[in-house]
Amino acid sequence: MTRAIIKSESVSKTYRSKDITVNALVDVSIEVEEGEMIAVMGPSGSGKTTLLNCLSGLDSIDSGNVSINGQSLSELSDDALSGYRAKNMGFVFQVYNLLPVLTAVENVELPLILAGSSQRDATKSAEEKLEMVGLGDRLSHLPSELSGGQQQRVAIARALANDPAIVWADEPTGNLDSSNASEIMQLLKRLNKESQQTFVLVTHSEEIGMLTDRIMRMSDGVIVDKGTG
Amino acid sequence: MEKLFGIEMDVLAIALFSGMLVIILVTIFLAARNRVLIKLALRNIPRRKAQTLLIITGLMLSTTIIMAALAIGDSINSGIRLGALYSLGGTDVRLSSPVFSRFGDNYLDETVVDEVRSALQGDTRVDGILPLIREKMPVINETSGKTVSDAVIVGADLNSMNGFTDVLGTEENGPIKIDIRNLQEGETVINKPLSDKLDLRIDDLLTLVSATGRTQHKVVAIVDPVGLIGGTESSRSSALFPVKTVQRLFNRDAKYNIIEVSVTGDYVVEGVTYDEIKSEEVAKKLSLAFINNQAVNELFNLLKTPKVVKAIKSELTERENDSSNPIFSDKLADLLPELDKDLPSDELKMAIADSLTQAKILGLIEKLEDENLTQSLFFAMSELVELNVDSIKTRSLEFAEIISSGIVLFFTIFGSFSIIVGLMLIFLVFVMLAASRTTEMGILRAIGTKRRHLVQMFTYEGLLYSLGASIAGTVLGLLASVLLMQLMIRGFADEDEITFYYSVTFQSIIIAFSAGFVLTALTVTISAYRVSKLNIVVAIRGLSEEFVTDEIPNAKQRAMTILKWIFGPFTFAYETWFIWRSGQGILIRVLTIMGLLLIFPWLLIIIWKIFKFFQPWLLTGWPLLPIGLIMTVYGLDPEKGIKGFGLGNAALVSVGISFVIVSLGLIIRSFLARRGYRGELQRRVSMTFIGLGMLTFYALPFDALEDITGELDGGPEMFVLSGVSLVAASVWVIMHNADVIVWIISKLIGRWGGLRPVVKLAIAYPMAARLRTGLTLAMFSLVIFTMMIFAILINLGNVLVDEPDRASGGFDIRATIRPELPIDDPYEVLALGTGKLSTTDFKVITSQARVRVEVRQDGGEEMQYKSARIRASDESWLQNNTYQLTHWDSEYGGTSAEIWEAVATNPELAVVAGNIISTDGGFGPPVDPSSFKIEGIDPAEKGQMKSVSITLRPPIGQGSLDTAVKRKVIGVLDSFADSFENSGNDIYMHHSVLQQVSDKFVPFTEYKFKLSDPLRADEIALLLDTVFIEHGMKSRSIKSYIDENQTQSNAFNQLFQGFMGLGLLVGVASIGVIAFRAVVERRQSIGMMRAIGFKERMVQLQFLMESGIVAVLGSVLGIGLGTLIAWNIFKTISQESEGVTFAIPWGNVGMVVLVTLIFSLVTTFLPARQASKVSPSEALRYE
Repeated sequence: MTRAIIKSESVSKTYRSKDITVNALVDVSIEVEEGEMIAVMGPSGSGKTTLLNCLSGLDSIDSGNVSINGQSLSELSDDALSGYRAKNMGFVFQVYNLLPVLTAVENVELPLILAGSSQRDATKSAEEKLEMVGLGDRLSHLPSELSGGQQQRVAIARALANDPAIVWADEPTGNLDSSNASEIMQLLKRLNKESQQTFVLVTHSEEIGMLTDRIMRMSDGVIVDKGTG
Repeated sequence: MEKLFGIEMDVLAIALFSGMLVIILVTIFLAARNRVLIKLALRNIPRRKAQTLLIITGLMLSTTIIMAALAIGDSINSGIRLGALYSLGGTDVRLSSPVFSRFGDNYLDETVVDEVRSALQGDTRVDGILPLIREKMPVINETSGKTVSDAVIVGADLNSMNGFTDVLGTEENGPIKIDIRNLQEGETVINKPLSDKLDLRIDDLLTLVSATGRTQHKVVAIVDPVGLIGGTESSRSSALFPVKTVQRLFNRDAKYNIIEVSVTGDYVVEGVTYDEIKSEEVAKKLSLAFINNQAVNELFNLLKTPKVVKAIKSELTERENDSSNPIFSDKLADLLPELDKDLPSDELKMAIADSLTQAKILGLIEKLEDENLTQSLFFAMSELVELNVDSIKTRSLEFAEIISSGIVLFFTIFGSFSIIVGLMLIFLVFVMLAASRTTEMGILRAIGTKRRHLVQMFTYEGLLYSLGASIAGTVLGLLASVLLMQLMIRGFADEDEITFYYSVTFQSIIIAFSAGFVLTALTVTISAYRVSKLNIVVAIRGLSEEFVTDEIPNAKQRAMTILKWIFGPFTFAYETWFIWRSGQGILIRVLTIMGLLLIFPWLLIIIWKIFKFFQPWLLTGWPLLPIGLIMTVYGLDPEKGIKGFGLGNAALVSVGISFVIVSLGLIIRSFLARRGYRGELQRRVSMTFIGLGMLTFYALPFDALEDITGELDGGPEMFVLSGVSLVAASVWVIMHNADVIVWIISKLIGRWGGLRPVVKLAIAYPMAARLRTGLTLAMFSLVIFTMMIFAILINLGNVLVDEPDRASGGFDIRATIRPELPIDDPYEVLALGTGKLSTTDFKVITSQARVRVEVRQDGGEEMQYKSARIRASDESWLQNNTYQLTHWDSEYGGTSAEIWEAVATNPELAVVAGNIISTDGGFGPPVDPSSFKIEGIDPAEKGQMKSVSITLRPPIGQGSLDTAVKRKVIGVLDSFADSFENSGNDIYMHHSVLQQVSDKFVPFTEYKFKLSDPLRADEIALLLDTVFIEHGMKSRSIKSYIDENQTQSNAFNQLFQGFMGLGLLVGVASIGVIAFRAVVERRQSIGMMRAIGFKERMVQLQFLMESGIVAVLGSVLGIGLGTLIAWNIFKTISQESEGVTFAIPWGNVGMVVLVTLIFSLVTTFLPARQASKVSPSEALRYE
């Protein structure tokens, strides 16, 4: 049996504002195995994105524990966490969030350089990654010169730049039309197969969910269905 | 200028420039290590050209203000300096008789000249020794009938002109040097001011009026007023003659009154050389040569006695313990070690030749009550100095320095408000810049960028802006100062004494540029640190501009960070070595060496981390309490606090008390938190407490707590500290109670139903973005605050215009005459005159004489005689002046007039100038320790006083030794009285004192006239000069004094207001920046608003209203707080000088506020219009 790469134990997270408290995550305990591609689904406000943020260490948790590869995230300092993200995680967001001032290849290089690669190596593997997502001919375009689908591909290439163990994707196809969306999903699926990386997707689209190994369902901050592989 | 804040300009320039270099080099180094960050930073700059421009504009204003202040200082310095240098020319050291003309013969024999020559024989530093006579004299052009009553007449030994000949020709002779060595008897060279005033051309005749009659001299050349023919500060008109001519005129065969020595050096201005060191050396050599060695020996032996040494020692110890008054300009400390030696050393001679030291020693000895010792000392001291040696060039240049650095200091203090505002603007600009890139920053963080990388990225970008801004700011500052100096130059255009030129030194430019850069860079770094603190999730969604504070790491983690940073350099070195090895080229190798510079930031970071270690505890409030209390107690006057533990420093006490207030506020918060109150309530209560506490404390009058704190020293830093704290505290209170303001404003404006939605939004937006609004509000009110204080303070000075009699004593014209041409009876001269004036034109004619003496208060704590001036007046002056007294002894009368009458009839009585009883400098210049003061009369408690006995005597070395004249002081003058003639330490009394104090006949030299028709004052003043020309009368109407005074202070005020206007620019810019950003940020909301039915005009109005609310609120705050502080300042001033009235110049204030409001609305107008033009469909499509 493959081992659990992501593990959360009784994670809770509450948002407080002036007079309202929102229990975004309540006692969430899940495991994701290495190489698995799972989808987190649920209605708006059910805590999907919060879960992703907490699992990936982007956001802090109030109680419980999250460990990645056996390393508890709460024990890491901010800097260490940043370093950990740079080496072991990739992120894809709904809005592609490329840096507008950098070209496609430079956007993809960025995590590599942050992780300490030399410029030459970084460029080389960034080009490979862009090739892989089918943008070999758009290397030096600025984001503003790319279509939405193309931008999302760059974002995916960036997420994969370090060959991360885990790729987090928050509504990766949310801003795309259906043909582009299915292309992106096919791409993710292919990458997951080829590289044995773990993919965690947040989506509200059943179609997308169907393409993953397992669907986890949430409602009001609680996992209502852990799904089966 | 040479110094600023007591630091050499050179040092300051080098330090700041090196600071800048370090910042730049460290940046280059770090950037090279992580090139992707610099790439990100660089690419951001050209992204939005308008925004970049806006940022640079915001950033450059601080530099502009610094540059303008320095350039104005330079110009004023060079005006005074050039004046001094040109009028001195070749003269470096001036020798004169130690005898004062009031007490004896101050002319020197030919033998003294020979002695000087032999003393300086073969000295290569000296390139000229010139004996001469310089006197003032009335002169006439009999053809035109024009006169100058105080022309400076110079008779020079034309065979000794080496080193003094650099007199420049005027246009009439072409730009050539004139050889004045060939000047013959009966001929004269005059300068241009004299030629202009007399209408005198070459070959015309110049008539001199002397005691021996009139003589005529042919003008052979007209030259620029430089050097020997440069005149003096009070009279530029001058004429040069062969010395024989002048000797004959003054009946002084083979005698001189001045010997000038020229020292070699570098040319500092055209035709004038100067070398400070050589000049000082020659002066010292001369001082030693002309000191009476017999008297030295005698003094040496007298001072060596154990009794005297003990007295000196105990005085010096006392000084050491007295921290409050560390400035002693005498040389007592130098003297003491020299007394241990067997023979009198040169140092000893120099020390005892110093008149301040002499006075101090005499004061100490008198306390020993040894009459013989005192007499012998006094006698020896009188004989000590054979020739006065004055290094006049050094002294004049130092004076120029003091004046101009004083002015720069003044500008910098007021300017520092604008600079602070400018720095806040930089911060604001960066916070907004960050806001516009939140999402990008969130992504960067998500993909693994560390926080410090974000800081670096922002800092790089910011530094590039800073560099651009420093360049632009320096240029703009230079431009602004050129314009502002024009105001000053115009104001002083009619003035003979000082001509201002625009001038700026390279040092100043370097200082302004580097200081601007360093300040901007620091602010940028702090802002970058601030904006890097973002919550990644919030940032990615682009939700909010307000930053989330992180969870605080525990103590262990924090301690680890400190350790990590201490060992940081090793890891760093390892990493760098790693990069090196990976072979990234030669550049990185060079840069690695530069990495050594990182020591500076490294040390700073360690200190920072240590602070961060303690920060969480500090935030609970408890630890701040003892820190604040200790600071407060340490700041107290040792008399009031703990003995031996106290500095008596106002700033320290204020900061300490502020800490206590903050600490109490924080304690309240944690108390409320423990009681489980809502967070909102906790914050409101505790923060309001802090704000109101600070507000109350800093709003108190400056001396309100004096009973508790004792007397504290506070310099200008207190003004800045309290100003900034007041504004900050008020803004703090407002921003933490914003809903109250919202409620008030909506009640006020909300009545106009149609506008309600607009008003609602116009308030909601600024109140939602508290940081920006708070900052802008603070900036705006700080600017108005400063303008307000200044407007009120200028108004205080207008007493002279409102009540001229207080300064003039009811006289219309004041005049002086030459002492060698005294007037026996002015009425007779008028009667004999050419009929231009008759005795009936005058109601009263009075006369006075001035004599410098030394005075001591009998039974006073200090036995030392100090310097003062007698104003010996005739009965007519004493009875007819209308000067008001602030203190009087009721035994002699109940009104000022009665006291004056008493002084007129009883020669034993006297009245002193107001300054004699004032104890400290207050807002004025520091008190000269050598000038006479009366103790025991409180300036603030006006009315009755007990008479004070004083003893007068001639200064040491003048007049007979046993002269001691007793007087009883029965009144104190209003400090405005006689303020036209620097009446600082005058003592007014009956003229009979003159015979008592001096063996020599002392003539009346000052005349005051009351006219039958005061309106004719200007006309009659001119006529008086002609009628009394044989006496060298120079007269002037009081009105013209006042007018000139007004013109000059207006010129200065305009200059200053212009300068402060630069600060206003910053405030206005900030409002513009905010509006501009708001439009960009809220595009979508605007689209939505338009979609749901907001009209274009409503959108525009909403934006204008947002700015308007901040501007109005800021103005109200600024006006209120400014008035408050101005009132406090007024209170302090009015304790010193009675009758100063407080009035708010509403017209002026209204104008300033109106202009500001209009400008801020104008700057908002553009973005507002842009906002209103947003098309709904387009804006919404962005989503």
